[in-house]
Amino acid sequence: MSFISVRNLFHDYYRHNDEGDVVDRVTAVDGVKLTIEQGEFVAILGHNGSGKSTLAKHLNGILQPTRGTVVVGGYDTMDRNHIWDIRRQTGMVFQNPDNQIVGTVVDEDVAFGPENLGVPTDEIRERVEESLGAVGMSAFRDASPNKLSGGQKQRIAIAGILAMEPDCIIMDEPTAMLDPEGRREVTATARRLNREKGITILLITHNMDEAIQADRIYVMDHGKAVMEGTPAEIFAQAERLEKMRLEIPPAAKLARELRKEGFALSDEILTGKELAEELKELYAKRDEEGNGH
Amino acid sequence: MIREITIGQYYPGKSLLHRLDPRTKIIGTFVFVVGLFLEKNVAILALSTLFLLLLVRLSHIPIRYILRGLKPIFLLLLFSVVFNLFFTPGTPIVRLGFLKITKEGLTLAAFLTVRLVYLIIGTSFFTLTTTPTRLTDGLENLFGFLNRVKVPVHEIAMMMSIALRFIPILVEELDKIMKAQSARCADFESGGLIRKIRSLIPILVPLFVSAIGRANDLAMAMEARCYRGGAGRTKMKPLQYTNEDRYAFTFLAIYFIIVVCAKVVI
Repeated sequence: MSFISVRNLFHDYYRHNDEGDVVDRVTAVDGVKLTIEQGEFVAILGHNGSGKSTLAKHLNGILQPTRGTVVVGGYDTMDRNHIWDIRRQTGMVFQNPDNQIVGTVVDEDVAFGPENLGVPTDEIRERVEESLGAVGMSAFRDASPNKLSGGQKQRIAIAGILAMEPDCIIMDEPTAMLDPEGRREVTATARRLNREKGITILLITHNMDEAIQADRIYVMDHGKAVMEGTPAEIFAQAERLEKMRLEIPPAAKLARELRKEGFALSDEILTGKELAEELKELYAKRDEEGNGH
Repeated sequence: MIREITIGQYYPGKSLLHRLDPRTKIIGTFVFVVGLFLEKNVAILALSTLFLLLLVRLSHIPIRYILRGLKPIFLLLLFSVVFNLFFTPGTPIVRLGFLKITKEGLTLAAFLTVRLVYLIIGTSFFTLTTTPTRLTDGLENLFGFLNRVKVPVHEIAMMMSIALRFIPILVEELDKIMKAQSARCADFESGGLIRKIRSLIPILVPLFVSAIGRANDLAMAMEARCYRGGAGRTKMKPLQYTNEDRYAFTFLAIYFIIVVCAKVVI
């Protein structure tokens, strides 16, 4: 059975007027079907307002379905008796690093989750050490979070989730408020946790460069999961993505333009490195042919 | 100017004062304040001065940093000094037209100033050397007995610690909003009191809106990290009295006895 399985999920937001009557209904998630296996790195890609954040909040029971079912680690999120089991298994990192740090000292914040779970004191200390090490922040154990950069704060937030020893971490646009350096720190941390600790990562993003690092991508548009596949499969459909106001990665875009001009490049190029390799091969072949004549 | 407020801020360090159990420090602060207000008595003021000097030595916090905490109460202080100086009945010393300064007023104003300043400095040592988490742990523990009369002690302590954590963030935000408004020619300096207060509205409204948004986010993040109130929680740093605390309590007891003696004798 899949670790996360979402079946036919609908979520409506209602807007009320002063008398409390419903004046407007917005369907943020519109019949989504999605499965995630243990140990996968999945990206959910979508433009602002595509419903990707609403979907993410269903996966650890912050929101509950209007219709449909969400099953996480064997528990239905509608089952209030198991809501804490779900939240222990799937941690969540949010967009704004300031608004999710509870402690005034780094290690106290990381300890917040395990303290809530009632973990014994000695074990909390071990977990905090280990989690801070895993995100490369051990040196900042006694620092005040206010003195850290955005990327560092976000790594602390990840450590705080890690200390709860979850099977899965959902990251809801963790890099949206960070500078390029912070973005690299956070995505590199996410990828490393996935490879080295086998933690399932679900990365919600509108950034292509982050999405290409995933094993699999779901593309959301107008509340629907419209595409699903490996990064190469997804970005091969450039025109369809652009219709949804999503850019394709620069290297892929350049490769496409070159293909149009008659260069024999594959349509699986996603990064600058891949593009450079293929161009090198192409030129090597051309030189050989030139020498042959 | 706003960024300089040091009340309630933690000053990182590893001194004896930092190491003491928060409960010891709460009781110590209490003993100091009670002593200070026991009686208008020069001997007690002298003892309090010694006590504070000892704290400065022990805390390794630069004295200028401590004194900065007084800035926000400067106006209040000035107001009460002037009020006491001129409006206390008694033997006049100096006459300025219809105003007169009395001997009693002078003593009263002097005592008031020193006491207020000492009160702020003495209590700020507690917050300067205690992380908000330890501070609220200490309060929660000392006032835990109130749980029996249905006071939500844990919740109040958690609210306090979150408030302390967000002070610097909101101060920074306030600074940003003020700059943004100044860039659009808002004027916070000139005009009378009413105009000045009115010019605060465009600052406070965005600040409140953002604070409520942050509170919403934080509540969600806390729930996602399995926070469900104080029941069943464990601590990474449980409170524990050490030998240092025992020495501190002995010292406090001796100090208190001396202060009481000073009151009785002099």
